[in-house]
Amino acid sequence: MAATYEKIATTTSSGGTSISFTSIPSTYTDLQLVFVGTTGAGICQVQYNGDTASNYSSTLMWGDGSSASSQRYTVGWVFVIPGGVNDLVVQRINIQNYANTTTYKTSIARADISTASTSKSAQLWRSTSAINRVDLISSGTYGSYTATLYGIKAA
Amino acid sequence: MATTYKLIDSVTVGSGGAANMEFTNIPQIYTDLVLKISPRQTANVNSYQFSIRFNGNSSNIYSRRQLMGYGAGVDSQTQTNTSSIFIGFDQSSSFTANTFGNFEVYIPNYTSSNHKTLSADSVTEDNTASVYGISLVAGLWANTSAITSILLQDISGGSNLAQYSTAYLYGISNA
Repeated sequence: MAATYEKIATTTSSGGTSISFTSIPSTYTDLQLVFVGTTGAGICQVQYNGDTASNYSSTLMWGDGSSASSQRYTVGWVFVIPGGVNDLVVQRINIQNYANTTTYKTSIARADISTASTSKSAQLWRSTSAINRVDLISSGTYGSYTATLYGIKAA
Repeated sequence: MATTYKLIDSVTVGSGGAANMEFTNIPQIYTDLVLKISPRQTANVNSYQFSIRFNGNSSNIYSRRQLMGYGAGVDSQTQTNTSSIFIGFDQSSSFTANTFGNFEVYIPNYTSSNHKTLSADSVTEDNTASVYGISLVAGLWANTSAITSILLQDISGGSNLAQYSTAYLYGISNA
């Protein structure tokens, strides 16, 4: 059986506020970005092709163990990182149909800190361009992390 | 390029049910693990809590944060110092026949010497106005051992898992 889930790139590092995957091949159907690591308090957002314009929106729902909430944003937020937490963050971002050039791009993200919160979110990038670069940008500083970008094939 | 998403093993509960579904001797060659589970229990109870335990460790060193929706509202709960992680709801025998839960559990860095975390998504739906729900769980096993076995069971009064309950364990490699 042909491989349908392949690693495109992995980066293991520490520090900084952005993680970048560039020159993404357009040969897959969907992408999945898996981040496991620590990061300081703030907001994590996804950005495509280096586009910093106001072309993103997102809806998040999360629970912190005592209350549940949902909000909508006009940026591509995937995760709100609470303060005072130094545990592992596990994030998975699924980016559907990323290489097409006719529709805007959507993604679904799952983010967990086992001692703080669990969340799920949806993002929209209002562009018909094929995605060839993904940046995961945090308003806090990343600690040690591993981020891997996988390609998923439907054929 | 090497295959990165590979089936390790699967379990299907046979006639008469089973107390649990278990994966043992999990190879230590992958980066992350993914479980796809479709459980149903044999008892008629209201708590129907499906749980996961690692390496046979029943010490009270598990915890979780949960976000759930049940049609009429949403809720978020915390459990700490438990002997397993409640990862979502499974169907009890009072649910519509032939309906099973739907779970996905992601376990990163399962061979590391850090404490182990998991992300669990699950849904329960049976086309009635009585039982339904969706759940997200962030779980923690405060143990530094590599995960070599996984036990899946309903912890609602020792209920068995019903025939045709299934679990599939996949390994993901970023090497």
